[in-house]
Amino acid sequence: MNCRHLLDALSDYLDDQAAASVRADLEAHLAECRSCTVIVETSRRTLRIVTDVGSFEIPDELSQRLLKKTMAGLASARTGSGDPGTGNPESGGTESGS
Amino acid sequence: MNLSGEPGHPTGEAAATGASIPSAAPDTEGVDRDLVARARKGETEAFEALFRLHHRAVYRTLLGITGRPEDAEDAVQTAFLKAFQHLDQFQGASRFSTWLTRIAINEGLGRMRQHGRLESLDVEDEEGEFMPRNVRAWDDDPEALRSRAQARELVEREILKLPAKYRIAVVLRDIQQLPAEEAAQILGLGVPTLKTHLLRGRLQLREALAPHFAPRRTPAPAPEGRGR
Repeated sequence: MNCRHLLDALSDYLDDQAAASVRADLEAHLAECRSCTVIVETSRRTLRIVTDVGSFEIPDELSQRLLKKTMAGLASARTGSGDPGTGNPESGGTESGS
Repeated sequence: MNLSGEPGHPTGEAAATGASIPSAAPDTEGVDRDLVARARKGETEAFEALFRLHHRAVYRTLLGITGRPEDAEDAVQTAFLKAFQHLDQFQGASRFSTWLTRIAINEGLGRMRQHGRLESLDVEDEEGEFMPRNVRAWDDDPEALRSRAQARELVEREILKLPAKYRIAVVLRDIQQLPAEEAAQILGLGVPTLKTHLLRGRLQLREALAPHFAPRRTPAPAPEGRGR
């Protein structure tokens, strides 16, 4: 395995989804390549940071506002007094494959 | 500093009935099932509880996809209304949260396409292979260098700078934590293509974060006896 091949396998390795043979080759390469070791370690840390910091939190004020708007829209739709413009959700909201 | 997760999340039951709006607990399936059944009977409180349980995750996904708070706000409302109005189509074969997430993702992608902000997701890249440039090691505990809020702001800013197709892959896999196969299916991509986008997104994000977390270069001390 060379550096290019390591990059190709990096995501699966970080996700613990690499095949055993790929994992072994990759780790053998890491034992010899300082740059790839840094890339793997810092990529792992990147994922941990993205997960841990709680990205894209909704502000509380917006939560309340959206709740009111959504419930008002629902009430309007149920009484037929407005067009919530929701159409058909199924351009992908199916349950298949899940 | 604790970066291990979101503090103070109430349980699903509490979330469904609490006055404040909490986040979805990770194991709301049983609560969801009951709430969906009640919502189908027209109980307004059940709709509201489902919103309270799931709106944070839906907003997180939609802001990551659209990249614009105003678009995410509109899309959250529309996604919930679509879900609520078509609850009869939810058969329970999947989790309610999965079904809702699919509706939300499609709503977000639809808005991106409608506004011409999303190129075809399966177009091959023209820029060639992305090779990492920054190969300096990071500090031992880079997260400790910043407050959680500072780190979050930095991460969000850099994620939103990613090309849309890479950003969406990162959001679905690393923030929404969808399996690769499911993310690929929702996006209408093959799994290898999804993984290519994810890899490039992750590598570009790593590259963007590196200057903030790698130790600064210490200027070499001036040799003695020079410059005087």
